[in-house]
Amino acid sequence: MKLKTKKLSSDKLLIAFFYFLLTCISLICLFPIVFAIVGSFSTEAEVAKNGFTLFPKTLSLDTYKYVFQAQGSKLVNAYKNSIIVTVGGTLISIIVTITYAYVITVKDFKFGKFLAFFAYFTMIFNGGMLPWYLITTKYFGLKDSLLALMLPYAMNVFNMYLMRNFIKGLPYELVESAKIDGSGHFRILFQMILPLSKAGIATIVLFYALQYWNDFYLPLMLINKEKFYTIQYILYKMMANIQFLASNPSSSMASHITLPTQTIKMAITCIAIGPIILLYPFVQKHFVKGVTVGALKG
Amino acid sequence: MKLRRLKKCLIAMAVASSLFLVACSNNDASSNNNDTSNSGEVTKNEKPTPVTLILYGESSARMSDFAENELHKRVLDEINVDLTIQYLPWTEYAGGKTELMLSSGEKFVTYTDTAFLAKCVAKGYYADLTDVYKDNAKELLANCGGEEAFDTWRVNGRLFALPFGNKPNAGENYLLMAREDILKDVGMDDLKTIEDVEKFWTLAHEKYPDMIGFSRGGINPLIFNGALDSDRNVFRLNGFVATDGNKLDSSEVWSYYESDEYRQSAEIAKRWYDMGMIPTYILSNGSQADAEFYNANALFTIGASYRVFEYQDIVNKVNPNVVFKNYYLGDKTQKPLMSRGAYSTAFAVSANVEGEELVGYVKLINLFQSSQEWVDFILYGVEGKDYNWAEDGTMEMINTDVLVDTWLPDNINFKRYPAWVTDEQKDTYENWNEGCIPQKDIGFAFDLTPVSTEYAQLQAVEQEYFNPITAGIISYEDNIDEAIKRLKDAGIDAFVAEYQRQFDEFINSKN
Amino acid sequence: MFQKEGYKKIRKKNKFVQQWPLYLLSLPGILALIAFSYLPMAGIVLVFKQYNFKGGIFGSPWADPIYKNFKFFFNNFSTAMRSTGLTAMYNILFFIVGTIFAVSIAVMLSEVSKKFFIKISQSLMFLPYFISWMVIGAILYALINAETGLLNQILRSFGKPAFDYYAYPKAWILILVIANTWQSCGYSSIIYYGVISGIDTSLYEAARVDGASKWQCILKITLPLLRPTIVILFLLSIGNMLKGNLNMIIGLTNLNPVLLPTTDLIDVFVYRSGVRNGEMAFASAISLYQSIFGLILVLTANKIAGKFDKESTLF
Repeated sequence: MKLKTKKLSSDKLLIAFFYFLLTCISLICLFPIVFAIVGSFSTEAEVAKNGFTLFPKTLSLDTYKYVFQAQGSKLVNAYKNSIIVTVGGTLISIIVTITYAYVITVKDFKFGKFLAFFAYFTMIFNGGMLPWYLITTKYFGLKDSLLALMLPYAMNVFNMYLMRNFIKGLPYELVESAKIDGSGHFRILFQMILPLSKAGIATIVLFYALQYWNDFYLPLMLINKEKFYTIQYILYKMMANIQFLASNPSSSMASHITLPTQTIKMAITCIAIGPIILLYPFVQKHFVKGVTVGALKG
Repeated sequence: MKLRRLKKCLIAMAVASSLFLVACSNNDASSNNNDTSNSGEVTKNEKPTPVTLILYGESSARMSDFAENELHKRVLDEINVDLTIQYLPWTEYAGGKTELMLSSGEKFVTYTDTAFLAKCVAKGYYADLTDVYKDNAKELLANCGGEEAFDTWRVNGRLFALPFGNKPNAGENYLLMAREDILKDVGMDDLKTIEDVEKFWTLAHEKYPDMIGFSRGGINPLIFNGALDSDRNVFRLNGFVATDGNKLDSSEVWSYYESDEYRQSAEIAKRWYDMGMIPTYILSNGSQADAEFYNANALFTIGASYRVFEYQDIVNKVNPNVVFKNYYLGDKTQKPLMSRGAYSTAFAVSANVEGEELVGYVKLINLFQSSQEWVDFILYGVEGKDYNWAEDGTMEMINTDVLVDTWLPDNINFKRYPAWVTDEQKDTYENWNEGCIPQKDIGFAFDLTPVSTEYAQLQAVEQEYFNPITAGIISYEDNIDEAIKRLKDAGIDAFVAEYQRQFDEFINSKN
Repeated sequence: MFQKEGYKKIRKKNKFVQQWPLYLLSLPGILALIAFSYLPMAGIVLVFKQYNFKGGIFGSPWADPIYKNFKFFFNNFSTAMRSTGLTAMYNILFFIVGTIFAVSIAVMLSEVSKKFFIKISQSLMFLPYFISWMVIGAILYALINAETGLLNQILRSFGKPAFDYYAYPKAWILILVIANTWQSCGYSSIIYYGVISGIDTSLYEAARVDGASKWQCILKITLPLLRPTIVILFLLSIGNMLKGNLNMIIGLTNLNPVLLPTTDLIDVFVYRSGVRNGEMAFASAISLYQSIFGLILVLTANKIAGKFDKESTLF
């Protein structure tokens, strides 16, 4: 039975204020991106003279033409790779992460505390690039394959802790009553916890998907063959020239590098964030407020 | 309590087992390599040698296609080498992934420069080429400057890299490259002194207020070398140590930043900064300055003989009237240009490559500089598909991508000048090295290992305290004392002493 | 007596056996951690060695003196301390300001009802996270540079003189905090938004019946229920107290030496000590220093958090 509540006028004011603040923040977040979008449609000559502005004198598609021409067919293949890696990697990661997160939330499991520390320790300590590289490529043979792009990030401890936090937020009586009913851990996890933590799962699915989609580090380290390149890596390579020059203006190689232009930086950014804008609305519907708990109680 | 002990035990076990595993894997890696090289010798004439070539930058669709098909086939037919080309981003050059690949024992060949070479040899990353190059790099020897060119890449008498290309390049970075078209436009015809440059700037700035002065590379104090009030022909051996280039038999070195020549250079730079010749954003937004340069908006840059062609090629696309020229501020007879000989770039092979494979690698590098035909092939591609011959004997490009960057195999014996190059430019370039003297450090590679800590500290000090002075942003008098104090604290004396010691040894062994 | 002990043993064994599903469930995670994090950790030993190729990790000689790879950093003690202090200060500022914004955004989004608005504004707000720092730096330059920057143009139109932000290190404390918050607030707010979604709506309904206003609901229900999450995120980030974001500083300032007094984080200092083309061991050594410090901080903070609320600890 839904009780009709009085709509207080102070409430209305508050909500209006919220709308206002959110709009402001959204615009502030958007504003610099508009610079990037406008910049990507500007001509290089103008940017070279006047820097980036919001109102360029001429607009042109030259930058995008250059980007697509230079990489052309490779982009299609790279998109395919990115999608496979993102979907596959996210699936693997979710299975690994959620199971581990559940285990460390179980109340009277003594080993759980140790497992939590075991995971957290890896967030702080890092053996360095060389041992990681040696072990991943030589010992596990993970190179030049799509699997190499999906396995190393199987467990992101930060995401795992987020999931644990969600599970802990669920009312404990449910688990207790299930235990009294004689359910084993598998049942509790799959039939009870998972359906209740939709928001939590949605959060880490989103974070993992974005991590896999945006990652250029794994292709940089582990992939040498072009047919396994991902979109982000191709874009990263283009930007890498600029970064090299920024940090090594006096290197003997510096004078030889032909820069991709200022506008290309912006075009690459736009190409990279495009898919993300499309992804989020789909995930948003799982962040539904306060569903479930009452329903299950019944 | 128990839990903590358990934690510690497990961690210790994990660490111990991982040490064990990694040790095993190292052994596996080396034993595998031994196997392949042995089998290579047995089936000498049948199996093609696999060779991986690593280049930096971008590869376009046509480049990849070319590398996999036409190039691959021709290389296989000619020297029985199965070539794979891979590209890495520039950020991974001389560090990053390249260093990871070298230190984990992967097999490949890629280019290198003298600084990186010294470091890699000290760590054992490069293969020793001394025994294989004489027989397998004959054309390279002939076309790239002979044994002298190879000397640059020797350490303690052993050869570790193969020179590639042949460019007369005396006085690289000691020259001022300026827009000759604008110079003529404001009524001047040469830049010989500092005052000339300042006059040029004033006139050009009046006529074209939008143009900036220095952009690419900012200011390099070496460009003032010829014009400074000093008897020494300052040759900068590395960022911190200098010697007198005119005195070929003397091994004396000194600390560059504490020298009088640096003081003079810094004062000129400060004056130029105040005059507006050096843009205020040179240190905070280098890419804006670069963009200005490429859009024909900058008057000066740091020069080298071949850069005229490289830069003009790009800038002409924006403004076809642009002409660059190198100017030497000073008197060449007093302070001649110093040259590495035929220095261009060099290719080094990673350490795990041995035996027959190593021969294959050397043959490949040799092949790319062996004849006009081959240089054309890797630079311009296939006739009919990528280019055609025009009636006047020049090339018409159908496809503007190239396999390798033009500067890489640039060899004066095989050079094709683009149509816009004037005879005067050609002449200047081909006779460039006349009257120059050899650099004192040909064949010398400074081993940083004994002073690696000091070097790291010195670089941090250089970047924070000296770069703004060098660029003219802050004044020399006000800031040099603090900067030198920091330099001393970072160990400049020990560094220079070590350099002196190694350099003494080197010069004495030559005499 | 013997019976009791017998029962104890049986109960222990049963418990252990009963827990077998947990071992199975956690196995994939354990394997992943061992394979990609613990095995490479053996490489920490390289920090104390002078690596050469022939020796490999195991066979290279020990560094002489053993702490050689740390010397370059600590020799210049004042800069080392400056870097450490700057890094810690920024991390604290980033966390505080970032959390305030992220929580506020999450709360506001959860109170607002128009679905369309939520979708659009959330998508917009979390875009900045995916823009590389180099591009943000270029945009920042377009905004604040002394000649053509937007901000200075506005200042000039009010009759005030232009301000060269790139020559004034102190301003960058504010600039960096703003930039970091701008970049991460939308993304971080998703975490809090997810937690708020999981709050039992009956709590709110009961409060409304009692006549509570929205603001009171937020203060008394939403925020306290977010507290465990904030604590967890705080504990997670405290381990990285000394770790800085190198890409951010390079992208925004291009390592401009004039700005170093306020932007020279530990990672930046290590990077510009020639590590980029120098010793990998130097970087790994300082990374170890950052890690040990972080571990001590986390263990302490975790203990303290445990005293207040047993549920809020990391482990």
